Amino acid sequence: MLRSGLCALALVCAVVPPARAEVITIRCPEVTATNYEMSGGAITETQTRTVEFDGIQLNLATGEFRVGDVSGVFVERDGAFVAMAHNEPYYGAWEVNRTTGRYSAVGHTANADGSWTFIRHEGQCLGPNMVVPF
Amino acid sequence: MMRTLVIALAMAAVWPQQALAETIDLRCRQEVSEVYSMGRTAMMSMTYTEPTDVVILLDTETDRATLDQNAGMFDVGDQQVLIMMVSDQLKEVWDIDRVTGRAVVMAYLSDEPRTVFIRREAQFALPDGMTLVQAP
Repeated sequence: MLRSGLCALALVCAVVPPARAEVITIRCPEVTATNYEMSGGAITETQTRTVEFDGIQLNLATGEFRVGDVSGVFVERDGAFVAMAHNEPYYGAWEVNRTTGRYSAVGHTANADGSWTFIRHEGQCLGPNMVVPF
Repeated sequence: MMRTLVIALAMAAVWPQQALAETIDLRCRQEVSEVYSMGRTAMMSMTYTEPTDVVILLDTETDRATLDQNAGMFDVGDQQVLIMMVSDQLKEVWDIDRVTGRAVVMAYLSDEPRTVFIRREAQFALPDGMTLVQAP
């Protein structure tokens, strides 16, 4: 009886494609972040560091994405997913190559004192030859 | 020209007050551009691979940089040359590796209701045997 049940389950698993998750998270353990701060018409600070990046959440049902407190929309293009958000005062664009997992992002923040900041991210979200599952 | 640039950048880094007072043409070829555009409810992105040659003018006396209608400042660091330029709608930053001349360019265009980001890769002209590294 148990053997029959396992066989039946195995058959179902082999025949029925896995359920399509509505929200997936792409994790990026190694991200290098560079900030370029501008104030008074000059470059006031540049800082490069490794950051802990929680990853990017994609809602496949709605086409929305989320990175931390920032949210927006995403599309798939040329083997990459591309996302953009404008959550005043932060604007940004994210891109992950679905095959290589290579990740890059640019962002802009307008600060209350009139200064502004560019943020650049470069990193690796997935291992080589892995594919973002959507 | 590049030799002049190397000398000027090196002097600007070591003896800012004695930097050569002149305007330098910093030539580069933009090789790939990624453009991300977002409206109120939708977004799109495009890749441009057609090379584009541009010339950034650097005034070593005032540390002023200009490219077409954009104007700003440049800063010479140990590893990189940073250029920041703005116009009414566009802000851009150039991060140039002093050893290789390789550059990453970020630009932000505010054009309500659109928001546009441009990320470019560019290569500055560095003839054989020359670098942007400070001379000993």
